[in-house]
Amino acid sequence: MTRTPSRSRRASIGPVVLGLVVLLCSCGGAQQSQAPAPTTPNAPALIDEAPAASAAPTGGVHAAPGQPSLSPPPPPPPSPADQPTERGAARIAAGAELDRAQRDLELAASDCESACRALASMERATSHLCSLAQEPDDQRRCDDAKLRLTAARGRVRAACGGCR
Amino acid sequence: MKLGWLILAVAVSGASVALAGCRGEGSTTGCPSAEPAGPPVDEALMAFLSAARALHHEADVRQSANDTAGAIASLERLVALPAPTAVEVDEVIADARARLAELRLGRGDVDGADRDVLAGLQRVKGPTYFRGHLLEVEGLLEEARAGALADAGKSDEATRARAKAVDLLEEAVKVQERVIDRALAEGGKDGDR
Repeated sequence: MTRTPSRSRRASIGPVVLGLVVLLCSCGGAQQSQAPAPTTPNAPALIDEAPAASAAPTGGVHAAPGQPSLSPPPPPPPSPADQPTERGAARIAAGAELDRAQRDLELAASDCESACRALASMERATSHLCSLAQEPDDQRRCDDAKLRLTAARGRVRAACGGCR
Repeated sequence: MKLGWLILAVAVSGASVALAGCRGEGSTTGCPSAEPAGPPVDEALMAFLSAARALHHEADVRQSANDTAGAIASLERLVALPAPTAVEVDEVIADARARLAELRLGRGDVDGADRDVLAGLQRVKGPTYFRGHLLEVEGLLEEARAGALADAGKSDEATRARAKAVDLLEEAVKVQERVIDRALAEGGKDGDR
């Protein structure tokens, strides 16, 4: 018996993961776009180029010279000294968030697999217990086991969407 | 389908993190090959787990060919493997003992099955899936014993065996209920143990 994906958990984790992918890719891409083209020996240092490079929006719609801009004016660029630090921090934070999302995803799968496996064992045990019930006390224990099983099945279904 | 899609997304995003880290820094910092090695994986444990998996597969193949004796032999090799001291090892051996007990029970070897169950229970003490499963198998074993005793005209002993079976099965139900509750409440922390 294997688990079925937890709909609620996965539904919440999926967009987070994808959002992080987009964020990280755009973050890396922005850095790449900032990187200078192969420079000549007399080219200014990178730190001098960065403001100009970052002033050009990446991925935006550019108007021809003399035409009104089709995209809103970019926000004032951060100072060159702050920019790499902020981007680095954002990347680290996004990476940590991604790690957490990935762990949550793995744990959700692991939880459901464990729960489904235990539920199968519980079903077998209840079935045998009830088949052995002869005395009234045995029947009471059978009924109790059935109640526990029904409740457990409901919890697993609610969390995991059921078991296969 | 959704799960596969999400796993793919995670894999792709993991690669994106690594690649973004590589190209963003202008050096190899953040590149997978430049990262310092993490904590060393316990090679003895990994070797044991790999061998155990292989022997379970071997038992599967033999069992599917109706070679129960061969499947038992594979699992006996598994439980005799040299192994480091680790919770994972205890769980793998407890699981193999439960499977051995079921196979022996299927052949009518109740005493042999009993030995496997008891050996398995020595490995897993807490309320874990493995303990619950062993209790379940022990309940089946006592059920079979009760039937054999009844057939032999030993009605008192059969009644005691049946009562023991009910006790064990009830305990198995309660253990697995706790396993489920913990797995769903605590995000899997020890919930599957």
